[in-house]
Amino acid sequence: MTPRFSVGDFIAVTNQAFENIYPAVEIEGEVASFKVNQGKYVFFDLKDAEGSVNCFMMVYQLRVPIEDGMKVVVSAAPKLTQWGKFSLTVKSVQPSGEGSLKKSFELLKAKLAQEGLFALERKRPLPQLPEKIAVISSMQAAGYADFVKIINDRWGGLDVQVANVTVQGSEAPDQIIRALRYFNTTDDQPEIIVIIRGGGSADDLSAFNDELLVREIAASRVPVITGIGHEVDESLSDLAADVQASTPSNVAQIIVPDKREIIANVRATVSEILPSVEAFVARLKDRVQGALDRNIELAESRVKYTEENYTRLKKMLYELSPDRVLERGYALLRGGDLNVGSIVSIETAGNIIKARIESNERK
Amino acid sequence: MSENKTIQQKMDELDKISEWFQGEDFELEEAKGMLERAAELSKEIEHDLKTITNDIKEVKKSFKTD
Repeated sequence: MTPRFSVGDFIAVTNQAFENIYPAVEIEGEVASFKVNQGKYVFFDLKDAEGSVNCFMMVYQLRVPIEDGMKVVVSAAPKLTQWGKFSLTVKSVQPSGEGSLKKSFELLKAKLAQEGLFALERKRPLPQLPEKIAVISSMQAAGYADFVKIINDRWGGLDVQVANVTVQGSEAPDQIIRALRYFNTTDDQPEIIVIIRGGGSADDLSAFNDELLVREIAASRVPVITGIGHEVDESLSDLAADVQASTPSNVAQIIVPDKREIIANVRATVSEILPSVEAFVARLKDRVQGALDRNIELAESRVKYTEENYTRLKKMLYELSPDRVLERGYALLRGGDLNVGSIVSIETAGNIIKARIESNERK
Repeated sequence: MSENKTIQQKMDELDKISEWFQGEDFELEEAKGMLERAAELSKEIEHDLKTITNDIKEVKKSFKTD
């Protein structure tokens, strides 16, 4: 018997059939007639050479910029609307193919750069010797293994907390965002958040160009360092991070010093101390010797002065001695009284004469 | 000994001792003690760096979509 429905029931049964046939479906095609209504609702057509379907989604679900002509893969549920129109209710959109990925990347890069998310003034330095770090990565990834190997080789004593997330595919951005929020709000807050992923194709790395993820990195209170892909790869997450390393291994090289260099520096510091003490002692010795030399010089000068004084006094005393006076022609008169008739003794330089006083008058 | 200090704290102390030897506060009477402390710190830092390992732990929380 041919089934008969009311219009409403027919639409409901059809949608139920779609759900059963396509619980999840991905469709690849080219975007056409893209528009956003009231800042909330996104409408576009997905087409290829064979046909075209209408697509609808909410603007917050659009995590990468798209525009007409771009090739995309949509994850969607087919739906018959109450007005009888067939459309795809889109859950997510990913650019597909190198050209579209590049176009989407450039559009979002320009938009976020305009907002200042990549500005150098926003970049914060990383702590020099962190003790507590957080890592957001897939623990199964080769890039994570490289990071762990290098960090264990270079440094010790780190408290490393790892958020094991998927780093590829449509789930990746939200998982990384949740991990970022966790490390930014935990009581045991890390000093650095590390986001790492090894190399891959542009499509593999496209999760790191998700707009919400890029904004979350830029808004992180804890400084973020990224090491995504190989040296040549650049993601918008890298641009928003405080420090961009070229690879996961390079992240390890940036955040901790090499213990071999530190040991060499510590040894050099200690070995430089002894020469500095020796130099100090030498300077001290020079100062003491200088002071000693000056004192000896002063003492010698005083001795010389005293000697010269002594010689001068001796000479003066010699000149004043009675013998020297007699030599100059004077005579020394000795006697009792000086009355006339008295005998006196007169001493000259060469003789002693007895003489009688014949007269004695006042001058 | 300074077992409770971190490597960073020990390195900071060694730097301060090194600066003391170069600075105005240097006293010959204290130099021997300071030099011995510097040598002790150097040994401890080297020992720590060679023996202390990193503690890597996975966060016990799922970040998958609810």
